[in-house]
Amino acid sequence: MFKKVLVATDFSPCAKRALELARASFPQAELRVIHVVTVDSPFTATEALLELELLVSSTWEDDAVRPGHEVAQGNPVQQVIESAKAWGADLIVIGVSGQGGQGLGSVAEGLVRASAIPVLTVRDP
Amino acid sequence: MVKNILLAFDGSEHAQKAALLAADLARQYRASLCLVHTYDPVPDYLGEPFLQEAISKRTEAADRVVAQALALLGEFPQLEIEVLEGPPAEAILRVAEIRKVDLIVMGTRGLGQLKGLLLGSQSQKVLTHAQCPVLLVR
Repeated sequence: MFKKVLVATDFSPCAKRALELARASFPQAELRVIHVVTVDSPFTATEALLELELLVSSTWEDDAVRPGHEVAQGNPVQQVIESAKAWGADLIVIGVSGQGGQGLGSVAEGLVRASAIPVLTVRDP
Repeated sequence: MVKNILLAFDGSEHAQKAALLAADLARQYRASLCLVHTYDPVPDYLGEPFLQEAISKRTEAADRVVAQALALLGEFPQLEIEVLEGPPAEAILRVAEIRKVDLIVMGTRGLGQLKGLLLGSQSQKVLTHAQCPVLLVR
């Protein structure tokens, strides 16, 4: 069973769903949330970190222990893989936007291709 | 949380890992497990007796793959087996929808003819079209 679960988010509704699913499905696992800032991100790394803190504290409102989170810069696929490796994750969770081949869908696809550990993809409801 | 797990199994190395993980998850969540295996469509232009022969060849091969999966999964109280005619992604998605599966577990790449491809076309299709979460295992 999974012990360390890394959730990648882009703050989209389906990433939010992925985060909630990870929280509900792996209560015994340690979670960590990551967001990758790219050159065409709408916000800077500092803004992203604030946003991420807000996301974590609103999702884990009533919990004393909240998951760790980090903002990385660069290629999303590469950064998520590296972070997963560095932290010793045994599962990556990511949302897939419906388009496929565009937007987050391509990051999810890239992750599935590149990751040596299992990847859980979650789609829009 | 997770009540119905679908395991797509084609006998490939990735699928074997997926099977072990699916069994682990199903035990953990006390979920039911549905094993899906697909075989290549039988061309309908084949006349008798070739058609019968082609069908029995495929079902025999499918039985072997299912037996392999069962050996990997071990004892399971709630296990359903579906052997369907391909293409795999369509069959998997159909079963997932009909059975109201809440998790699909499959290998990143199957036994397709283009082994060099990094992500199997069938896995890709499933992950972009499935309504439920998909767990891809390498």
